[in-house]
Amino acid sequence: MAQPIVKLNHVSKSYGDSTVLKDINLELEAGKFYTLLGPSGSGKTTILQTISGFTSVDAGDVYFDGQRINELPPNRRKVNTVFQDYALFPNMNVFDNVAFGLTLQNVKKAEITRRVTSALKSVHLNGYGNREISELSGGQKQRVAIARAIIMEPKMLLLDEPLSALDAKLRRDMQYELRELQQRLGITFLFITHDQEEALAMSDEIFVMNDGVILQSGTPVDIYDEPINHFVANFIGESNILNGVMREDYVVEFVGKRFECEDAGMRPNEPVEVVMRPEDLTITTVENGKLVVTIDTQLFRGDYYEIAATDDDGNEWLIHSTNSVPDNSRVGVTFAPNDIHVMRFNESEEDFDARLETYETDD
Amino acid sequence: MKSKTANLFYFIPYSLWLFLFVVAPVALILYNSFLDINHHFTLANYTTFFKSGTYLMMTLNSLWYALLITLVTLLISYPTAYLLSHLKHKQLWLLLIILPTWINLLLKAYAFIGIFNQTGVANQFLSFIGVGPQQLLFTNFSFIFVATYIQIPFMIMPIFNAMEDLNQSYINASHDLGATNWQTFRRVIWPMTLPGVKAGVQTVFIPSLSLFMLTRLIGGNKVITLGTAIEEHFLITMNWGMGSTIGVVLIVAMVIIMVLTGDAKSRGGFQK
Amino acid sequence: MKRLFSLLVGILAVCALLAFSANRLQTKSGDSGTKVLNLYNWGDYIDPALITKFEKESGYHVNVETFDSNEAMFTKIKQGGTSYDLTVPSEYMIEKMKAAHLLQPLDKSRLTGMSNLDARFTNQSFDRNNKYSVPYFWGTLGIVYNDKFIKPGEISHWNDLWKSKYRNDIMLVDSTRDIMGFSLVSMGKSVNTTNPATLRAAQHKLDQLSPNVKAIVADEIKMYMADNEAPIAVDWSGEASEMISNNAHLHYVVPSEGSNLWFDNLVIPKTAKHYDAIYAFLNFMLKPENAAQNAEYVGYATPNKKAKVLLPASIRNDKQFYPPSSTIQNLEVYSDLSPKTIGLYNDLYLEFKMHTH
Repeated sequence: MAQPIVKLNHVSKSYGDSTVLKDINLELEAGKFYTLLGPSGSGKTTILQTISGFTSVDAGDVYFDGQRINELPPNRRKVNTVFQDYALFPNMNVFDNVAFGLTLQNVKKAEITRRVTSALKSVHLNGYGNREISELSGGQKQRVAIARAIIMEPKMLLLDEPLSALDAKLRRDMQYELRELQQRLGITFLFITHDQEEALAMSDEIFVMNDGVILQSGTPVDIYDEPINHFVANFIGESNILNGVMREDYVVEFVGKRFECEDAGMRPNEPVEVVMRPEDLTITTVENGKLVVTIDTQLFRGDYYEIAATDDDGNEWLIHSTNSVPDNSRVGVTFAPNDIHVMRFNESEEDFDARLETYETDD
Repeated sequence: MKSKTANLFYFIPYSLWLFLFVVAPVALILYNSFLDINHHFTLANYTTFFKSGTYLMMTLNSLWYALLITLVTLLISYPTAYLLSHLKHKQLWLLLIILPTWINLLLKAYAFIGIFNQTGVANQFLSFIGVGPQQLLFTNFSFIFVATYIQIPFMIMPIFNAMEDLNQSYINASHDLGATNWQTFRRVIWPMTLPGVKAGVQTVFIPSLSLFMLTRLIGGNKVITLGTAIEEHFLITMNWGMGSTIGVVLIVAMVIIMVLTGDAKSRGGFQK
Repeated sequence: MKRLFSLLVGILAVCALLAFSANRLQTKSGDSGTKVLNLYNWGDYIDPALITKFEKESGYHVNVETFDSNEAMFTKIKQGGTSYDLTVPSEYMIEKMKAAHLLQPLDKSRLTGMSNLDARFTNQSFDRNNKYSVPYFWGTLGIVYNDKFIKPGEISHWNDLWKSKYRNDIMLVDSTRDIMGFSLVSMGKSVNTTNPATLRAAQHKLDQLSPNVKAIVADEIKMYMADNEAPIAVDWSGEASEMISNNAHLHYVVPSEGSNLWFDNLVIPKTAKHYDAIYAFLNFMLKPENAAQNAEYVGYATPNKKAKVLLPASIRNDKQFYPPSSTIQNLEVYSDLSPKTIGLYNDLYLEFKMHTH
């Protein structure tokens, strides 16, 4: 692996009594789109600020491009930030905002004009230079903030929940645009969000955080399909999570039945949690069903129906189906062994990865 | 229709107030300024004012001292407001700074007489450090010192409010884009708190133009401003016409200051 | 609409209440009860024990209201709406009030004890034959010095103030007529000079005094002198006596070449109503024992010669406050000058202040 552009080595940080970062280790490769995903207060913004320099760490080291930068002030770090509230200077127009960073250096006027024009162009705001900030819409402000950051040609761009203030439609457009911009510029993006959909859609790699700890990292698919624990499973997408017992390798028991699965490497009869994604459950006839449920309600979500159902033991199930099913009807539910994902309690990411390694190579 | 009459109705107390306590007095002052001591219409007051070296000198004096007071007040208040906005219990500290404004001006002036006189605390200190007692009262220094002390809360308040409106993220953004502390101050903090500074300058400069109590109590009448002249014309000479004329000149001076510092609202209007 | 109506009613009610209480306040400062005397006096200018004594003797209730300048008192009486029975203007204000028809002549037949007064202090230019006023206190303008810094006898004339060794040593009382006045006297002119050229010369002479002037202040002068803040002050005798009682190092001199002689006299303003009470009070105050008690309390010089005899020898023989006749004959009373001349006095005085840096 090439030298990481950012490396956090056993980084801790607390404010008074509350510890916001607990022994964080993290490596980011150049040129990728990373996302820190977690609920508010999970410590993701603090990680971002240790990289931008607005937060000093209590313990551990922060490396940028191989150099330890713990003591380097923010204005001398080769990263730029797009702030959550954009932080556009209201006393300057769009042009001056974007040009701000360059005017601090001894860049010639003509050069500044050229680069501002090009930066505005790359965020689709040609000709907005003379606008006042107060005249801009939320999306336009967002773009100006991005232009102001990328004009500095940083090696890395930090984005602190930049889309959270936008409406759903604009948000979706900006997701595409950001992804496209990152690929075009080829620089590392570290993006913060609490929106799992956004994270899944945009990232090369996601770090799921809670309570100052990185719970799991991996590609969107990895994390979606194989969440490490209840929190991640619940936070990333919708899921049915049930208590179960691992009877032996590849056999798990839940809702009083044994099912074949693809997980292994656990103690026999170990209590576990089982995750099943709603879209992996298929509705069939009662006879063909591995489970029998009664339909409670359903919501039409556009591309699918979101169906809430209850099995005979009283467990609730969430099922995504392309077809509508009448309410109160009894139907069968079926799934494949690889639709079952078994999670151990309190398993660390390292152990999880190691265990996966042992039996996945068996296949 | 109903809401319109209601709005009009609610406007009555304000317009009454405005008329009784703003428009009418100013009109009266203006009217009086055209009357001579025998209540005959005349322009003589104005010719007297603008032909008299004394009054013109006094005007210059007033402007000069007001400028000095404002400048010193600003130099002290700006860093204080900045510091204050970064303190933990800032509302408490702010209260402590505002507290002296609850005390009567005269009381404060007398307190300073006690501090600055020959046997006062200030001179005791000077003696202690070996400088020996100095004449502190009745000097320009003591006058400006006390005037500044009295005006500081009125300067700190608007600047503090502007600082509070100044989100930390603006400062972070500036640093993030490579600005040093000084560049951040010059390019971001100062321009964004300028409306507060302007408001402070207005609230300090304008009353400073016509201080007269302090000129006597602390300045020993060695500092003479237009306020002194107005006081004399109204209370001793009873030449209300001339007093009003000086008043009109002061009002015009204030309007000029307002216009000069007044473009604050048109640009950089903050939205929270 | 209902809310609007109640709001309107509320506002009207507040207005009515305000009007009512304003009305109450007005009648209050001129209570129409008959066994009453409304005295409009300077602050702390009568022994409260005398008021109690008068109330007991006569059965009248005395309401005292105070003012702090002749001009304020003048304005309030002129505006009307009050019912003051007696007030105490200074001599020039008596002239001014007379001219403004704000005074009522005294009914001499109801006055007893006018003969107790010292003839040197009656029948003055501002009120010939005391048609309108009964002398209450009198005093002078003079020089206060502190023997810690100034040898006794070193200063006895106005011109001594100009000596260069008193640089930054002198405090002046902030009063146009008095400051211009002593400059005029030092030049051998009258304190009532109206000639503009002479007045200008007096101002020029004051400008020469500027380096010696430490400050031009008002009432605070008492506090400063008592605190040894300055060695020399120009102030009135009444103020001086107060200073001296607080600081034994202070002394008061009335320059023998002349100075201002001032009076505060009791007068009956146009607003008066309770004539029985008024004359009872005037006669009460003319009684030697009462006048003496008052003079002892207030510390000013009494114009009542029979009262003076009753004063302790230390007061009675104090040349500072009861100067010898040779000096008294050189003292001048301020006359009420024309507004134009007063304006000139003020402009010149302001100019002098401007030059005091």
